[in-house]
Parts: sequence; C-alpha cells; structure tokens
Amino acid sequence: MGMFDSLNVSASGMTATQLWMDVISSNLANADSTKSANGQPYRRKEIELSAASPSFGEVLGGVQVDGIVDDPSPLRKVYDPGNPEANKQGYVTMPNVNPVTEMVDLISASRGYESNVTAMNAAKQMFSKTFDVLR
Amino acid sequence: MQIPAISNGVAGISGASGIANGLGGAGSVSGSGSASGGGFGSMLTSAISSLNDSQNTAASDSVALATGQASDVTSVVTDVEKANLEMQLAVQVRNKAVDAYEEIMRMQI
Repeated sequence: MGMFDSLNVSASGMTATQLWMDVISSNLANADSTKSANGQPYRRKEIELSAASPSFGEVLGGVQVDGIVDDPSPLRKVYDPGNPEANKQGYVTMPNVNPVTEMVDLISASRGYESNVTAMNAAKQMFSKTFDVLR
Repeated sequence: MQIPAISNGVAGISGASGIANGLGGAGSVSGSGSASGGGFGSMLTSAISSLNDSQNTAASDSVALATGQASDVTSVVTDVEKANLEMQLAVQVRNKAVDAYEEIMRMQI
C-alpha cells in the first residue's frame, strides 16, 4: 500500500469525470449537427469506464476510461423540406441527442466530481491528523 | 515560491541526520535501528530526496499550469497536495529530532 493511494484513486475519478463532462458538452453542442467528419449526422457519445488494474505495490488502481463510443440508438427524422440537407421526402436526419438526458448526465457528472473532491479532502485531512500525532 | 523555506528545512533535516549518524557510529544503538544495513541516517536521506523530488514535480507542474501548458489540472493539484503532505511529515520529523537533541543538551552531567 502506497502512502498516497487514496489521493491517486480520487484523482483518477476526477480525471474520468472530467472526460465525461467533455463528452456531455460535445453532445449538447452537437445536438443539431447534421454532418460530422464521416459525412453522417453526429451520433451521441458515451464513455466506457472500468476499474483499473492496480500498478505494482498498490492495492486499488482507481478508475480508467476504456474509450468513447457512439450511442447506437436510431437517429431522429425531422420534417423540414426547406433544409438543404433534406431528402426527397423532405425529412432531415438529426443526431440522436436528447438535451434532457444530457442535462441529467451533466448533474450526475458534476455531483460525481464533487464526491471525488470530498473524498480527496477527507484523505488529506486524515494524513494531516496522522502527522499531528508527532507534534 | 516556497523554495527558500524548503531548502532551509532540508538543511535542518540534513543536520539532524548528521546527529543520527553520530549516534549510529557510537555503536550503543543496536538491534532496532539498523534492520537493512543502511540504518536511520540513510533512510532519512532517501526520505529527504523523495521529498525533494515531489517538491520539484509540484514546482514544475505549477509552472506548466501558470504558462498554460498543463493539460490535466487534476494531476497538478494532486502533485502539489502530495508535496504539501510530505513536507508536513518532514517538518514534524525534523521538529521531533530537534526536540530530542535539545533534550540531550539539557541533560545534567
């Protein structure tokens, strides 16, 4: 067990939550993007988290992000014949982003970050209290 | 930043390690202190060098953050906090060593 394992674990949680926050921002910003790099409409992104395997001398490895994956749910079709992206029937294919879901995820990410910060502060105070024994 | 204070502290701790070496050389302290050859003095030296490393990491991270080159704010905060905690521990150990030294100096002969 390393001296600062709990700090490292909390830091990994904070980094992962920060990346989740980036993904949510991207989803919200691209809620109406009808084209992306591959020519298709934007697809909602999600992050995959897994428990990291501990490195040498550690008991717990914290959390790690395995990757950012596309949400496979069907894209929305909106009737908008005036849009230059519309097909012959007048429908435009829109991203499968639901802003309400994203806002709920945003709150989850924000609270998750807070809980990691709280855990880190508690660990810090425990270390400080231990050092006070020497006083 | 905190560098003068740190180097003063390290100088104080090095002085304390000299005292510890002197005690080890007297030969009366046997059994408990020298489990793996090096003894208390070398343990203290390695602890101080690790403290110095973490302080250097924290300083370079802070510079990277100030110049906008740091990509991960979390690792900067964690490194600075680790350096802070290690410094607290080192200061407490130093205080303890100085207390012991003063206690010996006050002893009636």
